[in-house]
Amino acid sequence: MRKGLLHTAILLYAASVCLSAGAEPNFSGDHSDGSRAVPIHLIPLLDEEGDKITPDIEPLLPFSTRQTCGACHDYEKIRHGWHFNAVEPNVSPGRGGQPWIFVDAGTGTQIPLSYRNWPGAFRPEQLGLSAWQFVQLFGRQMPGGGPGEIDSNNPDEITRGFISGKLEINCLACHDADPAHNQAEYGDQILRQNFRWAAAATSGFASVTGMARNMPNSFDPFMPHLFDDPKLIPPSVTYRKGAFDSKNQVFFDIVTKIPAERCYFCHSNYDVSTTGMEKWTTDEDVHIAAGLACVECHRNGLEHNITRGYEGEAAVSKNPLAAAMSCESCHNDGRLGAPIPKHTGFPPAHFDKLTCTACHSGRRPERETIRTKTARAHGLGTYNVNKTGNVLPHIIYPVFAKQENGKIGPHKLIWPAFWGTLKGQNVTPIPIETVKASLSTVIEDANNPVSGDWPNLTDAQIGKALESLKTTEGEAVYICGGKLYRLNGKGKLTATKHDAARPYLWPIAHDVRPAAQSLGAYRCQDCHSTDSPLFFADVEVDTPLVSEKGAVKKMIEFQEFDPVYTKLFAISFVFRPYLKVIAICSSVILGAVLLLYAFKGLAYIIKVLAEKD
Amino acid sequence: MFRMISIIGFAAAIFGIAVCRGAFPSCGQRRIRTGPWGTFRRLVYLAALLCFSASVITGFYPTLVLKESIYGYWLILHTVFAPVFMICLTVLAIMRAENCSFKKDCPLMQKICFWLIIILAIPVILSIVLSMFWFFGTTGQESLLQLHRYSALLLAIIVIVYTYLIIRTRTG
Repeated sequence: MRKGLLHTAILLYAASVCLSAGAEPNFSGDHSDGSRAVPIHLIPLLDEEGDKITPDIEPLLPFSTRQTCGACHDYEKIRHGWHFNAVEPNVSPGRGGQPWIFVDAGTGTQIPLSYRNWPGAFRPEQLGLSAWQFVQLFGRQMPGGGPGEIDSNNPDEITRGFISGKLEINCLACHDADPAHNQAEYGDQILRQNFRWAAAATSGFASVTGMARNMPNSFDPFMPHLFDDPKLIPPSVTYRKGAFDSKNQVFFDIVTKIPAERCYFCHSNYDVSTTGMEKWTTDEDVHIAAGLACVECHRNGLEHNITRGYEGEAAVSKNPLAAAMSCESCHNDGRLGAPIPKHTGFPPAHFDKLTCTACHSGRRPERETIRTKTARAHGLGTYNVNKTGNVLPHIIYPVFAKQENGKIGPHKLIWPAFWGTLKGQNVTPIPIETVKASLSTVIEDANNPVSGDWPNLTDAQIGKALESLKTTEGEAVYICGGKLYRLNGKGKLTATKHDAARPYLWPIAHDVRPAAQSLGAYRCQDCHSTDSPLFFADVEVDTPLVSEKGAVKKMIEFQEFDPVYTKLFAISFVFRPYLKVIAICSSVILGAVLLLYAFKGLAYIIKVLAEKD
Repeated sequence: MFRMISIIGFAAAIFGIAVCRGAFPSCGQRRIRTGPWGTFRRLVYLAALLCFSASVITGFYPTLVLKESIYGYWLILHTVFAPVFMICLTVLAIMRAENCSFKKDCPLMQKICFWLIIILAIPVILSIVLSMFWFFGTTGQESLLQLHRYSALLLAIIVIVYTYLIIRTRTG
């Protein structure tokens, strides 16, 4: 009887262990044993079906990161990380960030897009872009996953999706330390619709040829093919000789301390100025120069909820280190050797009204803003990128504006330009294909500069375009340069202010300058002067409209400060040296009077005591 | 905290004056000196009182009523009036010190208030002037600001009492 009970208990325990193991698979790579050494990734390559890839298989398939990396790491957990979760509706969007910018110079369109609910950014579907199209446009600088793994409902996209494959998370985009890793290849494969092959193409041991885009709908990438047309080259992968060892395993140079160069592929900035800003003429972020890596501050665990590093992030982030990864967290207690700032001479009000980045990050403000390029907006680092300074999108920088937390900080800015429909007070963008079809006769291609700049649109052209875009769904309008353009009852073009025309700004934090080069390091007048760029610089109002070219706004308009007060306060600094002199003289005189009569009082007491004696 | 202490401080001063006024309705009228020097002194007194009132209102109104730090036009006005008060106070210190010395028969409370005003004026002035130099870091700046606020609060209360005492001796 007792023996029977014991057996039952053992069986129940074994069953519970099996069940729990089934509920949460054990990924050997996700549980550290505490060693700080880098684990060597000599592993078999697996295709998207999970089958082992060996050099003798025909056709040779690209390795799947979901399968190859997912054998030891929880891909399902990772794909909800910050870099991949924009499409998930339940993820908090956090502070507004850099959007994807859709540009179509021919139709005068430059519009911020994001799957995250950031105020001022539009959802791709509002512009008529499916996830499939979105990935083709911007996948070049995406780490895969997210929209790249969404199943389409469109039959045509389903067919093409079978040929191209899904754009899985490209773990190598960040974690591959192989010097032969070529992330630019990723963008090229996206253009070719070789989504399935994109990650492999970036690795140093595989090369990809062919183009899924050109394949007929009947193409089966898992079967060998021969086409009569020599121009039809099916996508295929070749692995470098010697990549496989005797056990058909391949070495990946995987690191968790991601080198900054990996981050730079998607997070580079390039200031456009008249004289040009070559890389060798500019300084790196002071943290990088000091030997830190981006991931020293922007940290994450297996969940890949990387810290963004802004104040208040902890309230919305699931990363337990979110509160400990801001500027203050290191610079208040000297963590990682961070210098503890003294901020001598700065009244504490500065820290209530300014972000750290206002004084320390990005380009110092000058009389006029400049244009800048970013990797994600301009495809920096990809093949055949347009290197001209005027190429769209036009990102204006640095703009010191009020953030959601009420503090002033440096931002990048774009002025949305798009065709929309006005219903009540809401403007919704007209799908870009509709716009292109309607405007093809109104705005001629010949108007489009080869530089990729705006075409010179006239008021008459805008009027004609609005006429051609008339629909029953609402009034056609054009948004650009901070204004909404519409036709009045007499068919004349009028411009008004509208919320939809407001610029989209996103805060910047890099490159951080050293303390000695920060604003106000040596003089208050860096900011408190009547012509201080921080308040009174000209911010370019970018527009394709010829009649509005050259328009500017003052920086202070983005800060919600009273300009009269700001000027008066700045003027007070002219008198500040005199005030100091007078105040010190007054104090000395008052002190002298006090001292004199203290001595007199003492003398009087001594005299009285002496007389009594 | 500072707001609460300020409210209590001002209330106590006003209450004390009211009690004093009720308990001692008259204290005798003093002779008022005339002549150009006396007129000048009265003008300085008047300017000092005016600038003091403006400084107190611009300094304490945002804290006590608006519940925020001094900022914006309040700050501009404060920085306009406070230095003038500072100059007037210095002039008055030179002019009145002898009359408020031990030997003179000026009422004791007035003497005490006068010397307290001179003593408190120094930290009030220096705390704000020193913060304009590159000597003090964030903690130092915070301490200077607190020193300025509390010493200014004490100064304001004592100036109110002193003004009451002066008016009382003048009007009987």
